Formats: sequence, structure tokens, C-alpha cells
Amino acid sequence: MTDVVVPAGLWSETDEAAISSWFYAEGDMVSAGAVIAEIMVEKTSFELLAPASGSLHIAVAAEVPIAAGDVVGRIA
Amino acid sequence: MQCLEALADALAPGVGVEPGAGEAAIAEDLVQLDRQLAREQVGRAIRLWTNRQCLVTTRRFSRMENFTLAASASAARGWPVHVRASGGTTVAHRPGMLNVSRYETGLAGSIDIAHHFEEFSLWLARTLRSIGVPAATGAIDGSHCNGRFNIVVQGRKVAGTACLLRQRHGWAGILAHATIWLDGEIDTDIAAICDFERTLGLVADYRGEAHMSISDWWNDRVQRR
Repeated sequence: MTDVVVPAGLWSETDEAAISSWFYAEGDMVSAGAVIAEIMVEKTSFELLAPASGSLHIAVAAEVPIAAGDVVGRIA
Repeated sequence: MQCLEALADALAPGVGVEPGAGEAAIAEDLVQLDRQLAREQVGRAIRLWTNRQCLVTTRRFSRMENFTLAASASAARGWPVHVRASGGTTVAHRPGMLNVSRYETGLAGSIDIAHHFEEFSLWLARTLRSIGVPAATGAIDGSHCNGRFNIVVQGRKVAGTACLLRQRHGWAGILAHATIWLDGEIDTDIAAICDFERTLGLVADYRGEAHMSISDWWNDRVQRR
């Protein structure tokens, strides 16, 4: 099981961030390095990459506020 | 056309303006960004381009339940809808607008995206001022795709900006881009955006008078003389 973690150091802690879209559904198979979600901070989008290959479990839904270091999903 | 040439020359001397063909012109931004990333070195490139009439929306909006319906209805009105990877909301493209795309790469972790975004917007404003247009940056109430890094002239939005950060193999690539209104019917553009976003189910209450083209500014200036 590998955590999908929101990367740190990309935006200020005072800025609001949220996953704007998951590009895969719960249980989908993903490949390491694939863009699995998009994080939106103001008008910048950040691509979230799969840290491993396997089945995606989504822990945080789109539009829910997130912060650096949060675990937003897992890959089994 | 003189405005386009003057601005293009001020932004990137010798680069030239590519005439775009709808979706392919938008996709070219990612091709260029990936090409820059594949070099795995610090670098920067600029692309200037125009496009056919269309709306360009975000991946987020493209996954909304009513997207197919809204995009079909918009296309039937003469505004086909394409999807981009950068942030923000829906924008219009058409002849009479200049698109500015800047691709920058550096080691992952070495790029401050907020600083980069601000610097890009300040560069655009500074360049406009260099050709006599009194541009600044800031948010404008009632403007579409609003944000603090809009390019603004006399309190009205003349350009929107957005960014994408993509990471590959330890390198980060930033696409920063802007669409600048040079001339044409802004009210028509804003109506097309509002119609599309309302069909998506969004509240879209953008006002044409919150925006301005460079040509509008010029004509206003001449009339005041």
C-alpha cells in the first residue's frame, strides 16, 4: 500500500488548495508516474502523479480543501 | 494588426505569431512544455499565437455532469469548447486576441510557483507599458476567470493569466500563459462564456464592462483628447 501524498513546498500555506479533479475512479488501475489528479491553487493547476502502480483508493474527494502532506489516496 | 505586431515584438522580438487552429493550438502548449521538460535542464521558451474562435475550459469543468450538453450547445452557437490543463475557469479565444505562453523548467523543488506566476504577470504588464499601454495587475470584480494576476488597464481586465505545474523525473515545468484582448466584441465573448458555464450549472455573472481590449483603450484615449 503506497500513500498518495500532497507534495510540499509548491504553494504558500495560506493559499487554499483542493483537488479539482480525480482522473481515475475508485478502484481503477493506475501506473506509476501517471497523472491521477489535478490540484488547483488559485489559477495554477498542479498535476498529482501516481507514486506506484496498482489499484487506486481515493481518500479525499474533489473540492475538499487539502494541505501539503495530506494523504489523499492510496495505491494497493 | 499594428497593435498585434507591436506587442508581439515587445514581448518576444523575432519569435513571430503562430496562427492557431483550435484544439491543436491549445494542445501545443503541452507539447512544448513536455519538450522543454525532456531536455532536463534549466530553460525558458516563449510562444506567441492566435486562435480560431472557441472557448477553452478546464479539466475540472470538463468532468462536470452537463459538460457534453454545454459543449454541444456552445458549439452550435459558434463557440466549440476545448479543454486545457492550466488553472482558472473558461476563457474565449478568437482572432483579435494574442495568446502568450511561456515554458520554464528547473529542478523540482526549486521553483516558487506563486513568484513565477506573479513575475509572468508583471512582465506582461511591464511590456504593455513599454508600448504605451498603462497596464497593471490585479483582480477585477465581474471579470471572467478572475484572479489577482489579471492584466488590467484603467480598472478593466485586458488579459487573464493561468499556470500549470508539471513534474517529470525530478524536473518541474511551468506553463504560464495569458490571453490578451487586442480588439473585437468583448460582450459577445463574455456572453459565450456565461452561456456555456450556466449550462454547466455554474453561476456565471461576468460583465462585459469589466473588460477592455487594447483597441478600446486606444479609442477611449483618442476620444478624450
